[in-house]
Amino acid sequence: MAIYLSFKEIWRNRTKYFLFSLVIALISVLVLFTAGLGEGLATNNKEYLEKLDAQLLVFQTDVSFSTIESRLDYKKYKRARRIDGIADAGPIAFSNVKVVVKQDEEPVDVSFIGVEPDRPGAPKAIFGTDLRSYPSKIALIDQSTADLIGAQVGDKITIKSTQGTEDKLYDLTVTGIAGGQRYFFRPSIFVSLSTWDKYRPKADPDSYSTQPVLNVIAVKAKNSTNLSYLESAITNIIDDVEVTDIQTAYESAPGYSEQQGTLNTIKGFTFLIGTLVIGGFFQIQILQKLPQIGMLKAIGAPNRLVSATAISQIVIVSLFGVIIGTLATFALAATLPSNVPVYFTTSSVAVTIVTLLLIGPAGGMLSIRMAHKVEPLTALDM
Amino acid sequence: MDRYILNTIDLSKTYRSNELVVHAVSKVSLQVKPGEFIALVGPSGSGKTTMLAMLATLLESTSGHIYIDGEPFDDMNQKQRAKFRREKIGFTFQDNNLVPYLTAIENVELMLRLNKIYSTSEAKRAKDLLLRLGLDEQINSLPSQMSKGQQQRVAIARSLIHDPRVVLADEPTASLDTQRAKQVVQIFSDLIHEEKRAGIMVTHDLRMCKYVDKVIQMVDGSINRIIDEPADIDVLAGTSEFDKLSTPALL
Repeated sequence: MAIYLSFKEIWRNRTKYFLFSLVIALISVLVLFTAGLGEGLATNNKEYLEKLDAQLLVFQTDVSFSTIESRLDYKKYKRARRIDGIADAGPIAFSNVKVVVKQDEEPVDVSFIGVEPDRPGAPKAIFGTDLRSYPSKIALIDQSTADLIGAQVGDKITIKSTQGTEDKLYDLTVTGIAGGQRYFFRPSIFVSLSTWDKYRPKADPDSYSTQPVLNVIAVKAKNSTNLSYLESAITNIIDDVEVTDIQTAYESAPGYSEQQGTLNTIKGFTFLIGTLVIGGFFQIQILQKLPQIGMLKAIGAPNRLVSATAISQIVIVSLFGVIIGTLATFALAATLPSNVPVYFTTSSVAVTIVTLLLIGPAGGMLSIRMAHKVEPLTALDM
Repeated sequence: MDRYILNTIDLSKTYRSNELVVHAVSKVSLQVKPGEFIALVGPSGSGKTTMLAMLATLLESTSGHIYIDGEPFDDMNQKQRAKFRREKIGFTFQDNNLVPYLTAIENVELMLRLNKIYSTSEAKRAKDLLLRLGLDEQINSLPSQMSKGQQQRVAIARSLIHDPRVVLADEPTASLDTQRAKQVVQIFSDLIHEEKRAGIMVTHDLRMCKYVDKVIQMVDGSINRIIDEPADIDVLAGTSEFDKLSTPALL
């Protein structure tokens, strides 16, 4: 009965309710877009670290888990591999270079990451072959690099790196393409550690090694259920290191928490505004319908029918608005340039949609309470 | 007692505000037999609407008893009263009678749905009732597409479709012209008589009293006068006798 009355009212006033659904759709677009932007920015920041085949990262002490500031001697990596409870460990060294696309085009900034092939930190290829130590002038690039510069397996790419005071160009052959492995807002190129040290930007072009200074060590545990024990073991055995899990590591990246906090605040405020807008609309609706509600009660409509009608109306209008908003968001996202980082994951979209559907009834609670309290005699002016 | 559908015994309603005590209805005893249609008349403030609100279980009495079909509803809670209203009482109001987003037929069917007795045969009965009320072309019209008179006729159909024992009407002709008003009350009266229901209509318009079986005049919350043969009441129009029925100052 409540659904019957709701549908009848919405259908007979469809223009009004459609327009209000559009308001909810706009709120949905804003919230979903903010969520997608948050996810996109986070992904750009953490994608490589999040996909590591490891549970822990070893950093230098007192650098607040900053991958850029952390410096670890190669020997520490060797030592880490021998610790009981560690299944495998891999060195990771970060730097930035540019990839020359065409003569007349701006070079593309990429993360230049040195890893040890087949060790934690070296991504698996989805096309071509995984990274190898030899020959030296080969690289595994991530999908976003491939998309950005239009490179395929077997292509040669040219990187530009500052050696001393001069920009030098080096050719690398793409032997494989990994999935998305963006790091610190840049697409990534993976090379062996020795190649990395040779080609990374540095003050002294002749200073490179096959066992260079690393930034972090990725640790894969034998037993991932007791990581705190392993953390203690590593810090007890290796001097001047700190160990943390992957999530803490990427959340400690400069600006990460501030950026996510800002976006979450925007999202929170949008939810709040949505709640108030929906609440306000339905409250006005109820105020306009007081005599009608009074009449329904006077002819014997129970309070729960009046409330259920109001709730189902809010749910129907909200659902319609959220569906339109979600479709509009996906359509809008599809038209955005690829450098705008808007990503949608099933979980983030589902959580956002469920929250949007809940704010309708939450905002409408006051109007439902108002409908519940309508006195037939007063409403009918008897 | 059971030969009356509606029976009130010493029914009173008193409002208190600080030191002020207002006896809106004072010890009214009223009996309505099956098929009897009564008009409650009287000036503003005479207690007729309060009386109607109590009979409709919308307002609790201060003292006294009300029986409908011998069943008292003095001790009913709000939920029970709502159920009692939708099953036993048919109500027509002065305004805001219809649900604006339901068509004429849907408004009538609303009572069937509320009472969970909606079926194809009941829906046909609702349609037949509207046809009888001369609303052939308005069956699928929304209230906004109908005249006031047509709306009141739909409201009458709605108040009768669920076979209530008591039918109450609060100034059903207030917003109608004389011709329409007479037509509406005539139909109302016919349906009450045919179906052997108890009908009570509050009205200011004494010309409508020729269609009822009894006129009860209320003054200051009490029954002042009962006219048992009101059929020729409009003959009195323009006379002091007529004025006395609605103007207590002249009594």
